[in-house]
Amino acid sequence: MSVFVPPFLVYLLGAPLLLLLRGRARQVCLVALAAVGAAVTFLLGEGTGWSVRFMEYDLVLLRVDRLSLLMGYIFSLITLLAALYAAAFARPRLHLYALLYAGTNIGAVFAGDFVTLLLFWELMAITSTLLVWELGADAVPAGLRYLLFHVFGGALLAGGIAAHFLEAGNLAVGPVSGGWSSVLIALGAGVNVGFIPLHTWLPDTYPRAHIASSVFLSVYTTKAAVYLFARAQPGVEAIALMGGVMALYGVSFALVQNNMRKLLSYHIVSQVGYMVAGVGLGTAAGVNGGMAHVFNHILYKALLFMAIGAVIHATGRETMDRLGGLGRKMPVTAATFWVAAFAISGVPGFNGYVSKGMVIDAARDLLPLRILLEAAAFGTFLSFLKVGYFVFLRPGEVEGRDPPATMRVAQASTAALCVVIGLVPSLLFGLLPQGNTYDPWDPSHLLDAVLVLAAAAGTFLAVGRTWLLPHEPRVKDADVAYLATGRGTAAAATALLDTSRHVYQAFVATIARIGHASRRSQTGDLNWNLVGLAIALALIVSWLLWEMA
Amino acid sequence: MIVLLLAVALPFLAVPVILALRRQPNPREAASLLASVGTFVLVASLIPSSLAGAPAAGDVVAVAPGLSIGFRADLLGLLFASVASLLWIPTTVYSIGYMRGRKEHAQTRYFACFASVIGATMGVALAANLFTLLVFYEILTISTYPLVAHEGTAEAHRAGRKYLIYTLGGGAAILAGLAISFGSTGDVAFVEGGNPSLATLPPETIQGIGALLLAGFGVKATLFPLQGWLPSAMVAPTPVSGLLHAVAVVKAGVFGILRTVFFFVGPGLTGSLGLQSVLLTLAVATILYGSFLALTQDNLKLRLAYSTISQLSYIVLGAALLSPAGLLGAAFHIAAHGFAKLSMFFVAGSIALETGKTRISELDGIGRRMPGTMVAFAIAAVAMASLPPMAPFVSKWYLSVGAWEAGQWLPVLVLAISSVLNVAYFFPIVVRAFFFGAPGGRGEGTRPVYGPVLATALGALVLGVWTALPFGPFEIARSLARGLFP
Repeated sequence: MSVFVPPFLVYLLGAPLLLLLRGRARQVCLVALAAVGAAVTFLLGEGTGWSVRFMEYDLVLLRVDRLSLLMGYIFSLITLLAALYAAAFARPRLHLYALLYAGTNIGAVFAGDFVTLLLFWELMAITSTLLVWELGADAVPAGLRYLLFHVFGGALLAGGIAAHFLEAGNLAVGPVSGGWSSVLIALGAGVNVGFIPLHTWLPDTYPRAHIASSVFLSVYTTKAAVYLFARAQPGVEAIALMGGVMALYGVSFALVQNNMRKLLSYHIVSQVGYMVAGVGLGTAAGVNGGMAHVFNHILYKALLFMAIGAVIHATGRETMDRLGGLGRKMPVTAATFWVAAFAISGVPGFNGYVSKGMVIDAARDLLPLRILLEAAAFGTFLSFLKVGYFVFLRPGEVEGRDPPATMRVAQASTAALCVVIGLVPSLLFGLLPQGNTYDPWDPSHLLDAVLVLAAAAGTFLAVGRTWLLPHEPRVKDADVAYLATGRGTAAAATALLDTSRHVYQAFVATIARIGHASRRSQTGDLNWNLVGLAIALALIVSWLLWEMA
Repeated sequence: MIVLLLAVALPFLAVPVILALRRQPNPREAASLLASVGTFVLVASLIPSSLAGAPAAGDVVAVAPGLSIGFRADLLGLLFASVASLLWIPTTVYSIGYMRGRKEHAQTRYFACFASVIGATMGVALAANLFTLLVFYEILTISTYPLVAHEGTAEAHRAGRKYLIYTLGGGAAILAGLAISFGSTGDVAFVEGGNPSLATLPPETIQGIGALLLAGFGVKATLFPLQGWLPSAMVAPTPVSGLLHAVAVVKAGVFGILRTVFFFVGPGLTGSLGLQSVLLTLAVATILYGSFLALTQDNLKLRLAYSTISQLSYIVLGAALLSPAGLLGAAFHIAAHGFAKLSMFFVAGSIALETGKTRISELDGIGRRMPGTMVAFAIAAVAMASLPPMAPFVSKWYLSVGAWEAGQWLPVLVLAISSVLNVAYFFPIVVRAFFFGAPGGRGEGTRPVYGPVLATALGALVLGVWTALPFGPFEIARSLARGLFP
């Protein structure tokens, strides 16, 4: 049995129901909607359809092929798991915004034309901002900064799509080749994907939202952007290299963080760098690797945010410097954390190892990229040893308990998926857009991974417990530049206002002065008036005579 | 033809009725309401024939050979006339609530002048030639003056004086342009694609005429550096600020620019004689200038005024691109911006009425007291940022396509920056309203005030989603663009 219904309808139409229900009914409705959405997605048959007239175009709301199905599967699956997690909290608006956000992303990846994609892209920005703001307090100014970035990115994307539309003559989602269209689409998607230095909104916002919101936030926006790159601009070497830069930059900043969710956020930048690198390489192996990494990353990153969210929920603390000893007090959380940590670090037997290996392997002909990715892998394991040790392993007095049942089920299920895919990667290979030739169990790949992991482990054991002792980082990210720009803009605006006022007043004063000066010519003296009259007459007569001649 | 003339005449006919009913407020207001509904119905009824290619037209009186008062219900005119007359309806309802809520003085004068303004706007929109347009343009100026200076305070008089100096000065420039062209060609009719008799003149003359007309209309269109009158005019009662300065008066200015570029000088000459680059530069400058200055204003209505200055130049930008998509975007933005900005002005007035507050720094927590009102403001703010599902998203899309059609990249970048700036100066208001401050009681405002707030915001949403609305602004704008760029 197959269906052909756009899954986004389930989320966007169903989400408002959540506001009408209370308590247990709402929890059930949340999970049920996510389940229905996943069911519809998994039952989709390939094809194109659901055409709607908007502006002057026939939009295509549903385009189902291998690539969009891959995205749809993982998005709808993680929505279900994240919904289970979020159901533990009695926050109706959080649930509403989360489902709306999920729906807009699913709409974007199944879009058959660029205008539909653009519409969902901008709605993604609005719904995710609402999700961030839902918590109130610190999340509010962060959400405003987030919105500024995403509106700018969306506007650049719109400009690029408009340019492409004129060049290509149609709106179908596909490769983009023109000059301006490529640059603008890359920049617009680059904001969402976290190109350095357009990434600062990510570590600024994700740690400040509600812990359940962070789970949702971590999985969609950046991956939808990777999908856009895979459709519109695969195989651009500059983008692949940017992916490498993102990988190393992200992990470097992550390593020095004290705030756990900020550390995870920087890792998003880093891991998305792998995906961007894979897609940027453009080869079948590269795109497969990048998309496989999208799938796996969504699973283990959501799990990381779930586990760390459980720690924050239990202890009330966001930073590692005052944590410790939770391994025994929160066994389920600890176990699922370690599964995710091994997955993100690329430990063989977990899903991350497979896709990370695919990307690094695809990069073997581009040495600078390869170096960046391997170095980032080293830093990744190192930073998760840091988190694992200082939160769970080292002795500590902070109290903590495992979270409520739905959250534990969500964590455990996600962890199970990470392990299953890690052990039976052919399950994932069957979903990839291109035929797969990568063998994760090839000894060279195993050796590669083990070496990096051993190096990181050795480093941590030797010096990590002292050098990486959690404390407030002294390094500042590019935020500094943006804040300065903001302040500069405000100052420039005030200066502009003052200048305008002065110019206007000077202009008015000059006119007034001319008026005053010309008053003096009104002497009231008949003789002077006659003289003036005579001069004027003489001038007019001479001009007339000259004209007639 | 009768319908056409009646559409212009009806608001004017309401003026003596309103004056006669000065001692009976309810029948007096009913007269305004009837006139507003009637005008819109008349205007709307002219749309189908115009879309079919047979616009209603007719001359009323010939003042001199070649100089007549004549009207023509073509697509651009009907777009403007329908938007202005439709929005007059909620504004009248709002005015009733607002003026009575504040126990304002001189309400008869207010409603009578309002009707006259709308009549003049219809005259401007449906004018078949430059002379008719100028006559009604000046009537518009004169009718607006008592509304701007309504409060009667020293500040109001200063604002009114400034307004007159600017707009009568602009009118003088238009008159000069009209005089030169009539004197040289004897034909000042509006013709699709430009008046052909103008093309016979020497290029410097055409440039002079074009510059005078564009500068003259540019005053009301708040084109930099002629925008100074609008912020001062915010001293007027809020419904005046809203409809007149966000929808009717200022839109008459951009409308005049559209008429000049596409129906008088013509896009070909505008491009070849250097007028296009000047207009583009000024439009870009105005968009940025308005948005930057909006950042500095704590008074809510002033922030809205500077935003209007910026948004109006979206329309001028679209016109200056001289491309089909640019024209579509510009024309549609007349409607898109009108609904959204009017809603924001209504919110400002509603807040002032309920709480007495006019400064943004005082508005913390207002969203908890007036949630529906502030949600309307929020979705209007989404509109100002040109985000879907609001109508200005459609304008922004077509302006971007139009820019590429014209081979210009700068407008695309400027539109992106402007969207960000709009978020920067509108969303903090929304955020502070809902997330900061302490709630204190609930009160959305009386129904005549609250209803129009919601209705106009909803209108901007409907226009943004249902682009296929029959005889709606999108269909009109599209036919207009197709007709001028076959």
